[in-house]
Amino acid sequence: MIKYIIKRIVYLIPIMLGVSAIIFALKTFTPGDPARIILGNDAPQEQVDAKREELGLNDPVVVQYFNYIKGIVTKGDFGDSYRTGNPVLSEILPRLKTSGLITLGAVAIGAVIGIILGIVSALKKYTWIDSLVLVVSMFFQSVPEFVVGLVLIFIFAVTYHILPSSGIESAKGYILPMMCIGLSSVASYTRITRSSMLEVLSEDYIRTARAKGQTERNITKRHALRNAMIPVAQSIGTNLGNSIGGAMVLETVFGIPGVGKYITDSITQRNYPSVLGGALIIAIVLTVINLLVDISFILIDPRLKTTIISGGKKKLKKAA
Amino acid sequence: MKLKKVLGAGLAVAMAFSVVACGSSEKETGSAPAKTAGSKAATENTANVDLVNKVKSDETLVVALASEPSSLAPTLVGESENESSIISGAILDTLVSQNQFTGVVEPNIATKWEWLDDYRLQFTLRDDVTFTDGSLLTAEDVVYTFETLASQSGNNDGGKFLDPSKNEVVDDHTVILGFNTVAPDLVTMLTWTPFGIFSEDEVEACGGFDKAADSPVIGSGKYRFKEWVQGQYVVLERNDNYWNQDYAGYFKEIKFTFTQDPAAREMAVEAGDAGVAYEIPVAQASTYVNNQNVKTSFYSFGQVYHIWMNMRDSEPMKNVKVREALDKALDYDAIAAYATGGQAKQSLGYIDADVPFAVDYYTEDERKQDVGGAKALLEEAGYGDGLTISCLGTPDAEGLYTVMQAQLAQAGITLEINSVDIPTFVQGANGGDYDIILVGEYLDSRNPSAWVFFDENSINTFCIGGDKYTSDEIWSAIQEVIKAEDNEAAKEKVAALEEIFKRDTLVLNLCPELRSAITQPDIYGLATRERGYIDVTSFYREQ
Amino acid sequence: MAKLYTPEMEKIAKKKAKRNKPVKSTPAFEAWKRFRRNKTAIVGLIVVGILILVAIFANFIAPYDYQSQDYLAMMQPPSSAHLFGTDQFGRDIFSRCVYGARYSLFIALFCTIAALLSGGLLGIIAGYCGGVVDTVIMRIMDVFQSIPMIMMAMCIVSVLGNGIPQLVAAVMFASMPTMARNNRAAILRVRGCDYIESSEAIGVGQMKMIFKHMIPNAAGVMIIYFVGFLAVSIMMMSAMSYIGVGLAAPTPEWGLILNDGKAYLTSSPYMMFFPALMIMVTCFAFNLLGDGLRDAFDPKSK
Repeated sequence: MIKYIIKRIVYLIPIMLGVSAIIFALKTFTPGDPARIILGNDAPQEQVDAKREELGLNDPVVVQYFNYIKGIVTKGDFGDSYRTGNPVLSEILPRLKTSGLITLGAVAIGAVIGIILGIVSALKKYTWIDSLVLVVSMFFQSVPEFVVGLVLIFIFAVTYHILPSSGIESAKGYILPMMCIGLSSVASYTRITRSSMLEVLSEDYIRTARAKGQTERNITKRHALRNAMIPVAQSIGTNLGNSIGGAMVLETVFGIPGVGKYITDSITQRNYPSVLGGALIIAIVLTVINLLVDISFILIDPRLKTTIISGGKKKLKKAA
Repeated sequence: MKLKKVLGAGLAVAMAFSVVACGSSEKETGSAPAKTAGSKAATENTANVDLVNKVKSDETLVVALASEPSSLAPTLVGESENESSIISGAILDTLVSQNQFTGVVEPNIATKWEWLDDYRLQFTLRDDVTFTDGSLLTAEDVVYTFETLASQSGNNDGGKFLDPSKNEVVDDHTVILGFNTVAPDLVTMLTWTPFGIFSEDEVEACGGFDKAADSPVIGSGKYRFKEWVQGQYVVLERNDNYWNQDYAGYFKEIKFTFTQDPAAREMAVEAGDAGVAYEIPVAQASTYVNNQNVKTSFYSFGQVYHIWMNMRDSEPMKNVKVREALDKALDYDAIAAYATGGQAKQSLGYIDADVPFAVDYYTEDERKQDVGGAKALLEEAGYGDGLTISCLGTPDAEGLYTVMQAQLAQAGITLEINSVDIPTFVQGANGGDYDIILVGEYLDSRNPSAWVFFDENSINTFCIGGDKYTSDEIWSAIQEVIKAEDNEAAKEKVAALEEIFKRDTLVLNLCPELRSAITQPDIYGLATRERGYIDVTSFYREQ
Repeated sequence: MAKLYTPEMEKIAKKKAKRNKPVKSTPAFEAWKRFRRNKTAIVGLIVVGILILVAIFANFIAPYDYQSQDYLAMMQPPSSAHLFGTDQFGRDIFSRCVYGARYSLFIALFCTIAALLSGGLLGIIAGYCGGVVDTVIMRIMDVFQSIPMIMMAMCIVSVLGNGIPQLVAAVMFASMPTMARNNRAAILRVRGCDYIESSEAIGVGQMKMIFKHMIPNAAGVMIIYFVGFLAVSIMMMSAMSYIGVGLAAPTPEWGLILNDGKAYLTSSPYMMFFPALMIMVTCFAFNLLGDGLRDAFDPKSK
């Protein structure tokens, strides 16, 4: 077990290096000369050349990449914003909490509704209820989140004045964005819950339980649900990424000072260090969170050891 | 840089100055296609009403701005953005102010002023103006402020025309300020927000320029800085020691929020979360005119939208036929109809027609759309198969791009749009990497700061450049305009300048720039300063 | 008394009985039979079919040019002259939506094909070769997957500029890992089957094995994800348009039309309603179709 966890942590290193390589590659494609942008158009060429030298822009690409990684590891240097000149990390950290809260809330809303709907439709499979659940959950998957967001603002803020239209100064401000992102992920939870429930319900031990004369209610609650939740729990990690993506867009709709708004604002400002630095920070945070989620699941139930490390090999052996 | 300068100067200082320009050009909603009780009320309250206000309330006014500025006291760090001008305009007070409706420069901190010679202006100061720390405002502080402006000018243009070596403290309440340029209208520049007065003690108490730019507990304006939660809001509170209690702020606090999407800003007003939504695109705003839940007001931004051609030595824009083809392919009437919501006509001169020294140099006839002619010109220029032109601009002109795109497409020109925020725009414009640039310049007065768009360096790096169009010709024509004794004399000089533009089709004049703001129905007192920045201190709620 | 014999079991028993029948049938035929019974999936298929026809014949269906502006008819609510009304430039929204089908569907198709060709191929190679190749490919995919999809796409477009090729590349890179993963899983499942092992034993050539046996058998799973990704691509494009990193105006892509209309949500809601409806109907149809295909090709997951 401990060996597995250590293995998983060590495994993070190549992933992080890979992610930083992608971001670094994009960085080399950014238009404009960073030195010129930092110094402004009035700066004389000699000064720009000196700045290029200072920034290491004349070094070979490999050296630049090495220095980039070195800067991140030793100094947490993800680049400086073109706009404010402040380090990207210090601008993003306070915003991570906001985005994290929204994402967590969204995942909770999506998972709770999705699981309930999934259970209902599994128990009532092939009935009109099943179809209705499918249609409703798929509806929210098929409408762009920002449209749902604007419509919700129109209903709850503009028409009924129940919730604020933007900002998070009061806790109420979190409700709408969480709902929007959550609703759009309901469909995937519903689907996983439903198929997992159906699979579990056809397992032998459920049949045994039925044979023993237990009530359907008891079977669902005590036996089926617990086991059916395993794949659902595992899918939460994957959904986290999608929810963060949703948050990126919705923070703009609701004017929420999170990482998503920071990055989208930076895109309009052509503030490339902030865009790419922000993306890298999010990727790192997300990877670490996924790892923690995985590890905690394993601690709870060792059967959940995911296939990420050993899976391929095992299957291969089987196949060979 | 020119652009930056102009924008900078415009936004940074503008305390009271803009009054003249805006006042004279305030557009009545009455001329809008649809007139409603709500919008008419807005008009009545913004036009020609003395904004005297002795009533105070404990309310907070929420103002929804489009974007968060990077600093709140831009002059201290040599920056310039519309939003920071609006905020610092409430914090800082200027020596003189401009009457919003007559355009006349009026006493403010200074009770009177006179030119000692072409370069030196002497001011007599009030003796009852206090700063945030309670200390009295004296001549020393004025000199300190102007020295700072000159040394920190950066992207901010105002400081460029100051000559600190000529500054002089005569006594506590008499000061002489020096300039390096001859211009009768220079005093109007001092009404702009970036020329607001602060003291050395205040800046030091804040911890230097950089820190003071982030939390500017400085100045003697109607409001003082309270709090800035980055990414969320800025709060100002009323300055109860403001010297002129006849014009004190009505709201106890003013809170600025930042929402990029204009539709979301409008909804915030309709939802009651914000009292004022600034800068709603005119086309969009005209759809709210009949909405009883909000009040829509239109006002002039004192600018004309122009298309500047990149005159560097590169195809296709160096070819005069391509430039003329652009001119012929555009339908200026349609552009004006769209951009002003049908409230104004196309611009026949470079300068906004409401400005006293503007000249109508073109006729509507010669500007008629002629797609066939445009195609023929392109054919001659060797672009018979069509061409792609890249355009740089700012998001406020969003719809305009679409209109132009469709018109140019008829002549076989594909217009590629790069719409970026203002600081990025300034950088791109100076870089000269785009074929054309869509921009409005604020030329409401003949103070040199308003014209820095065209100063020597700017012209070269901005767009004209190249071998043929040296800055000298245009810059000297502009200096003539600035130096002219009065507006009548200036008109002739403006005509000479227009001739240079027209001769080789350097620039296309589109239409006047209108702006719009949305307020809650019972909020009054919408006033603008300088080029159309709202003056947040004048709002009040009708009891 | 608990039910000992449930209807599901009856069905399973019937299926088993059928399967045991010596009827000659291919997996595709079996899948089609299952698919046909699924009413919602058939609805999805019909809607998708109609949309494809609309996209192909857009120039015959649209009453106006999607770009032509009319200053005498700005922001008109839906009427017989303008079924979906007009926008702030007097452009006919119905025509724009019709042409939008062409742009949105085909760009989504390009994106998905690109993702399938890149990610799918890598997944197949990984699944087939196994060993070091598998590990390396899948670790690279892990790296791509660590960056949230929409953020990846936004980074690419913001750096490379907005145009159809950049957009396709962005969506491709963003969806590559999922595509690779699913295809690899499909191949592995097929690999484990007896007939592959036996063909291996009798020495069938590698290429032949991939194309003749593995791809056709894994095709079902690939089709499911292919259809699913069409919906994902359309949604992603509209989100990118909203943020301002989508296609450039005046392309009548649905996301852009929607984005144009959002400014008028309170005053002229129809400007936003119709493009949103198009996106919704399309994604809905793709999702229903994908769901039906999943049930048809992969009955075990149901």
